[in-house]
Formats: sequence, C-alpha cells, structure tokens
Amino acid sequence: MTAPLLKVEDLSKSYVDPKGRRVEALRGVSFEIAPGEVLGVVGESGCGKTTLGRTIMRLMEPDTGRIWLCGEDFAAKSGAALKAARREVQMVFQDPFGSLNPRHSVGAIIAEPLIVHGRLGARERVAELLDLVGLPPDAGARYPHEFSGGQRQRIAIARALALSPKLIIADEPVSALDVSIQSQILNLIADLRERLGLAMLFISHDLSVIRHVSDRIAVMKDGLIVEIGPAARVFEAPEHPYARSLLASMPRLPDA
Amino acid sequence: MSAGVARPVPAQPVPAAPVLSVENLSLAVGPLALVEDVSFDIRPGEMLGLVGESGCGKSVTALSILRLLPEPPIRIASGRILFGERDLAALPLDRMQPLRGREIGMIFQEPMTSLNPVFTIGRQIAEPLRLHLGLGRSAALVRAAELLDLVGLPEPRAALDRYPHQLSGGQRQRAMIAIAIACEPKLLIADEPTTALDVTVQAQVLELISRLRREMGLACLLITHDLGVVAQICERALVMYAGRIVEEAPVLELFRQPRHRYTRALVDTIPARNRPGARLPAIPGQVPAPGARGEGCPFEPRCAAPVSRCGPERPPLAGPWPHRAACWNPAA
Repeated sequence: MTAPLLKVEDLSKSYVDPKGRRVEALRGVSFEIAPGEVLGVVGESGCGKTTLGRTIMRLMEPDTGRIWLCGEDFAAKSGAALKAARREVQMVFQDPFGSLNPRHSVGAIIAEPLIVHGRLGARERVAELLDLVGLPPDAGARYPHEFSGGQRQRIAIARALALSPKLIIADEPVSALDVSIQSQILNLIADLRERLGLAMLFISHDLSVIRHVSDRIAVMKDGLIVEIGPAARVFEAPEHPYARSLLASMPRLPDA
Repeated sequence: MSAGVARPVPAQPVPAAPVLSVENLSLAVGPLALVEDVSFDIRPGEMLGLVGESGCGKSVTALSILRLLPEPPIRIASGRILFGERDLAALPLDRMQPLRGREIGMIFQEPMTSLNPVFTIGRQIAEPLRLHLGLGRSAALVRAAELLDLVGLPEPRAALDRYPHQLSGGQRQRAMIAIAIACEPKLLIADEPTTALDVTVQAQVLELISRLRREMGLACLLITHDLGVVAQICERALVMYAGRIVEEAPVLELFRQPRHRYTRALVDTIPARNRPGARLPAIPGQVPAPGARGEGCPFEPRCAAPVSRCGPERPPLAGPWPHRAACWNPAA
C-alpha cells in the first residue's frame, strides 16, 4: 500500500459556544487518505464534519491529535514551514457568494495564492486555470457578481487549484447549487481528479452526492467517525446503527 | 413510495370539487413576466408537488395564492385563483386576513425566522385559535397542547412555555405545522418545509405532513426543489421552468416516463439514478432570467433534442389529463 497523503490521528477539538456551553466538536478522529483518493465525510448538522475540515486546514488549531501531510507533521509546523506545506492542501467552501471578494477581479482572486507564495507567471497560470475549470478566457477581467452560483464555484475551484495542491478539502461544495448546476460541478470535480490525480476530503450532508463522488465514506456523529469503509460497502451494508438509520432516511426514488 | 397510484380519498362517483383552482395565472413586475399562464387544481386530501429550480417562479406562485407578495411591485397580471366560491386574485387585501391561517395554513422553509422569537410557542399556537375561532385564553392553550401532541412534540404541556430558540430545528418545524393546522384549514401551503432540516428529521417531518393530510383530509401544495421529496410524499406533481408549468403528471409517471425534455434531463442528472462515479448527464447552461426567456420554449437553449419550432413557437401544455407536457419533441 502506498504511503498515505494525509493521516489524521486522534484529532480532538472543543470550543465554547456563544451561550457559554462547551461543545466537543471532534472527539478523537483518526483516518487516512491515499494519494488520488476521495474520502467522503457525511453527517448531520453539528456532527463535527466542518470542524474536521477546518482543523486539518489549520484554520482552527486542534486541542490534541496529529495531522501528517505527505509524511510530515503538519500540525507541528509554523511560520515559513507551515506556509510551504499549505501549498499542498487547499479548500473549497459551500457558499460561492461569500467566499469570493466582491471587490477583486476574478483574475486577481485566482492569482492571489500564486502571489502570496511568490510564484512567477501568474497571468499565464490564471489563463490556464480558467480553461481548466471551463470558464471563458475573458472571465479574469470580470467581477464575481457577474457570475452565477455555478460559475462562482468554478472560480473558487480554480483558486484552490492555483498552487497545484495534492489534496482539496471541499466543504459542501455543491449544496448551494441547483440540481442542473450541481451535476455540472460534480462532473468538473471528476474531470479534475482524473487529469490532476487530486485527493479530496469531500464533506457533505447529501448522501447521494457523497455516494457518487467518494471512494471511501466516513459517517460522523457527535464528533466521532462511527463508520468508515469503501463507499459501496458503507452504503449497501452499513454496520453502525446510526449509519443504518441515516441511510434509511434517504428519500427513495422510483426505479427508472 | 410504491403506493403512489393509490388515491388518498376513496373513489367517488363524481370526483370531489377542487379545493383550489388556479386558472391562467400570470404574475409580473413592471413589464417583466415572472410567472405565465399557470393553471392547476388541488382536490381535498391531495398532496400536489410543485417542483423547480431557483428562480422558476414556484415560491411566488405559492405566495400569490396567499396574496403575500409585495403588491406593488409584483402584480397579478391576469388569471384567477379560485378557492371555493371566492377568486383570491380579485379579493381586496383586507379580506385575505380572515382566510390566512384559518382556511389556508402555511409552512415556510426557515422555522427560526417564521416564528416570533419573543413569544412562547404556546402563545403563538393559541393566537390563531383566539383570533379566528374566538377561543378564550385557557381553552386556546389546552387546544395548543393537543396540537403539539398531534405533531409529535415531546412533553407538549411543557413545550407551551418554551421559546423558539429553546427548540431544535425539527421541533420548531413541528411547532410551525401545529400553528398551520390549528384552525383545521382546507388547504396547506408548504414552501420548502424540510430544506433547512437534517435528512433524518426531514423524513420525520414529511411523514408527519403525510399523516395529517390523511387524517384531516387536508389538501396540500408542497413547493420544493428536491425531486426526492416529491417522490416520497406526493401523488401528483407540477414541474416549473422559467415561470411556466412545463409538465404535470402522477409522480411515478414523472420519474418513469417524463415527457418534457427538461423533466427528462432533471431526472437523469440525479446522482442516485446514475452509477457511482459515472459522468452525470448534466444540463448545460443556466436558467434564463425573467425577460430573457425568449419567444418559444424557454428550455430550448439547453435542450438535448430541440426541433425547429422550439425556438420561435411556445409549446402549450398538451396531452390528456393527468399527464400533460409543454414540449414540441417529447421524450416519451
């Protein structure tokens, strides 16, 4: 077996909510992601799936636990070493309206990670990325408000890909989109995986989307992974009682 | 739901008169048409789905029935909304108030913003009972507790004294449903009632709405973007696209033999109906804005199988009831 791209060991995170209550968002979460693999994380609101993504990105600091990225201790890094390691892991958020700066042109938004990391040839790279995500070449000179929700999510994906990361953490990337647009973005994600060999941590509450994109699936409940395994196995023969009841509540569609 | 063909009300010699008949309804803002020529009926005890993507006009259609649209700028340009003997489209707004909450109940997507945060749940359920049915304070509270029990809220008596923020999302939506059915309305309008809820809670709330409909003989218009929800609890559904009804059919037929090319594409693109990981048959482009819907079929620019008359000529909703579609080149 190849060495894991990401290895998370016993990750815990608690915080105090606005009402002063202690919330244990993660209670000892461990898993691995292989290079090029998509791990789907599914669970209901409050299960800790968003905290998991943010903690791995180190947008939040974990209380305990280790995060190994490409064999190095990502959780222990700081300063220049953290900045360098961050090139390998990028994030796509749910809200394509809130995650793009409305005052920056699309070209500037996509170029920002390149400039922050001192890469040369940002202009050419932006043109390449626009093409990669299926946006017209003139999109770079326009502003986010000129684009629809689906196109904005393409912009957010182009920005995440700018530094050629090995891992993308996508938190509900298609949940705000209409069905017809959602499938366009799911196809784009599949294309990018194939062309770039990307690994993903794909977080969603939507069971059918998770089933569609994932190689393996982790079911979260109350800050714990209650079940993890190959996607088909978890879907067809869930073992944990919660995983079973979650899957049973999925709306059933009539056969074709 | 495999029992989708079964009628909720036992077959009668003559079908019951519709609770609501919307006839050729058009809504507009200035010169822009938002909704055009929408017609449908709902019969007693029927659960009718109204499905479509954002901007298709499904929510404004629902709000127009309640006359809750901001008028102006939005106006009812033409058509009738027949509720019993009355044409709601022509009713002065002050005559609507006695109907809303009394004869027509409503549930909205976000129970946190639809409930008043400064009043207890008990007071909010008691309000329509006192206002519309003239119940006294204590009688209204007794009835409110019964209603909370009916919608499955645990410890209904204690729940009367709680404030909305003290309930979970699913409990708030149950409380909203209790308010909506308090006066035993003839018609319930539910606009994305489960969209903000987790999937396990969604299943429970859909089951509750289904049960109430059966037990109370309630006619229900369920507005949703989610075909899965429609499949779960509706018998019949309308598909809207760009301000028009493009297909009307019993739900099983809608999934098995959709006629309109848009419905076909929508059903085919659902991940759950494709092999995991396979390329999804995506619908290219995006929904046109009001004012950019063209002369002919508004779906023509995105359609997989357009014919020459689709661009210039608008297709009418055609075919024998109950399955009708507005398509020049139907998929089935």
